[in-house]
Amino acid sequence: MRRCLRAIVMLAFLLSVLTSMTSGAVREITFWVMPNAPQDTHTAWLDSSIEEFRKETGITVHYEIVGWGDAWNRLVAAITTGEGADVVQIGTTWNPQLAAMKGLARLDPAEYGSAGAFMPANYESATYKGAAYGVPWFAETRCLFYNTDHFTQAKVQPPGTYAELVEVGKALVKARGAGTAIAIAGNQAWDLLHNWAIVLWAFGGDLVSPDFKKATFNGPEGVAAMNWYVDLVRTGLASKACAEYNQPNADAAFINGNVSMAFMGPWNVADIMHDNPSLKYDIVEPPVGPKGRAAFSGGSNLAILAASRKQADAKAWIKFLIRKDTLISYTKDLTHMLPATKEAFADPFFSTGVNRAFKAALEYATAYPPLGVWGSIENDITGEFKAIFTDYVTGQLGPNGVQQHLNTAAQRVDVSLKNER
Amino acid sequence: MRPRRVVQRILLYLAVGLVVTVVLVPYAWMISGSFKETLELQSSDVTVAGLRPTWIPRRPTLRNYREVNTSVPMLAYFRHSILISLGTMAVATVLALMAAYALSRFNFRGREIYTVSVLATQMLPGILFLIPYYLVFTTISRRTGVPLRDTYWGMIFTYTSFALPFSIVMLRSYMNGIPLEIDEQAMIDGCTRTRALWTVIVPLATPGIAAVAIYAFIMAWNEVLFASVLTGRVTRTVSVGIMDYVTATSSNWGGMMAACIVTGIPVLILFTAMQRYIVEGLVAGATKG
Repeated sequence: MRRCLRAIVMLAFLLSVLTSMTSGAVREITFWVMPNAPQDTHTAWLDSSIEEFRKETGITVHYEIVGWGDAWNRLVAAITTGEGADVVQIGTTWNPQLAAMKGLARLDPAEYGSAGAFMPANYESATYKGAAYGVPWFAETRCLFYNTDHFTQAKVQPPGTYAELVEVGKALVKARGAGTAIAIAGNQAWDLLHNWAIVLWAFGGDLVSPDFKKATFNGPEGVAAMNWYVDLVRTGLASKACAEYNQPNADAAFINGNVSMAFMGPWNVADIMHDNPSLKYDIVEPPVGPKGRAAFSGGSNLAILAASRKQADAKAWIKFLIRKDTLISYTKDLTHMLPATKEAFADPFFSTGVNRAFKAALEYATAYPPLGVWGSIENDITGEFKAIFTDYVTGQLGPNGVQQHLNTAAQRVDVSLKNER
Repeated sequence: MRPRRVVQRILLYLAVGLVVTVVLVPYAWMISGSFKETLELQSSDVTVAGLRPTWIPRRPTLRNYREVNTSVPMLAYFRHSILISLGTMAVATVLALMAAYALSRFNFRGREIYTVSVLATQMLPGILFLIPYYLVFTTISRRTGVPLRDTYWGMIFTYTSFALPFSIVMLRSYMNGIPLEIDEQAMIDGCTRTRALWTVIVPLATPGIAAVAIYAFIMAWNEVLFASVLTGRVTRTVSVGIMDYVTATSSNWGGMMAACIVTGIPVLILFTAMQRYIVEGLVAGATKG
């Protein structure tokens, strides 16, 4: 028994010695990336890029594709223990939250070009209290897709303003039937706020005050913007089923030809090619509201965990990923997102065809405020947004219902903002 | 047959039919959905006659089955799930058997406290253990250089620790129903305590052991929370990997349903074959003791 115990101790000692001897010799980092493309093409791209990077730098990258549903738990566990990954992909709204948890390494934008090298809203999303804790990787924004056959049938032109969109919608309903003008995301959408925020901004409202101290979306502009959104269903331009849709439901309704318009992202261009290549469509920028034009800026950033012991190698990998040729290849050929660096965005591909609208929209797109408490703020607003839809569907949304729900959300957001340190 | 009995029988069948319907309808919908295009599933609209969800696919397709392993490496996930679940089943069953035997046959100080402590671990929500497990894995890896996260052994260790409490209690109840005299007779005939366990008690406890084994297997097969954090490229399981069909920007429900069916069939066959033991073991474990 004693001999057996001694053998186990010796083996463990030998293993730890061997590990410590080898760990200094090999340059390796771990990269957590989300499923940004179908796994077969994604892994092929990652494998070849990692090999190219290894040849250039001698650094080996071990990657793991982490689903969006698991990613938050994973990141929190990694931040708490200081183990797991060196470089991570994070959603733009997660960046300040994780920075507030002191989980991310502070980065110098100059090492990656400069702050001005990135699309402005995307760079802002990578900051927390003025300092950079991430590097913008790829961007997304949403534009108005419309079915050209349906528009020809209804003898209408793509809308330039939100008021025109309603008028065009009425003509489409007259020509094709109730609920067929537009599909919108509803209760099941995790990104419901993304769709409403652009209307809110175009109507002159904002989510929080410039000093991030108070919720402002429950003002008259916010109520008007919310009424405009809910009225799409209330007036029959969108089907009542939209109240329970998520964004992919709305996308599918457009791609299947059920409806004539939908606010969708650049990745949907690939979906159309895959699922319904005969669909006749075009894309225009989001309509102009009473106070101007607005677009939402989202996407993903790259960050280095603060506990990573391989900061230099991690930075080298990020520089490789945002390099012009690598980034164009990743966005144009694989993910169908938009590059977050201006250099890659200057590629002619992003200025031609259906991409023009996205490029134009991203120029003036707005990101959410870079707050550590943004997660709870988004939940507060989305929760009441969903309650508005539920009340409407169940016939309980009174004349002041929208205002009341927005006030409730604003009270909660004010509490969350007080927790922002 | 008396009219009252006829009515009772009809009500019984109606109740059974209702329960079976409630249980089976989601599975039937899954089978139907696996033959539909994702576009058809996604774009359905209950308010429009031509777009309402239907049981019979409008444009039946086998594409979801053909591509089940294309965009998501589902067969690799299946292999990982099988290895981890079988490993958990084997380790948990052997350990539970020995622990249950000791609790059933020996009187030692702290026996009841031990049993209550084992059960008490089941009363806390699993999420509380997530970070501690991650820390334990990390510490062991740092100190010994032996990786545990994203390894089969790490996952088997984790799931065994989850399966053991209930397995021990269930098996102890079953063993309490086997008369102590049988052990004594075996030992009078010359068996050692260990041999009596393996050659006499284990065969008698087969239904209970089978129930515990199946419980451990199901627990490991279905677990999501810990798998989402502790597995990785090498060990990602079906229960977590199935969500790969849904990304931030798209939801391939058709593919997901086809994958559920493909990966579920072998397990369904296993359960059908073991059904008798499961019922027998669970019922006996619940009532004996």
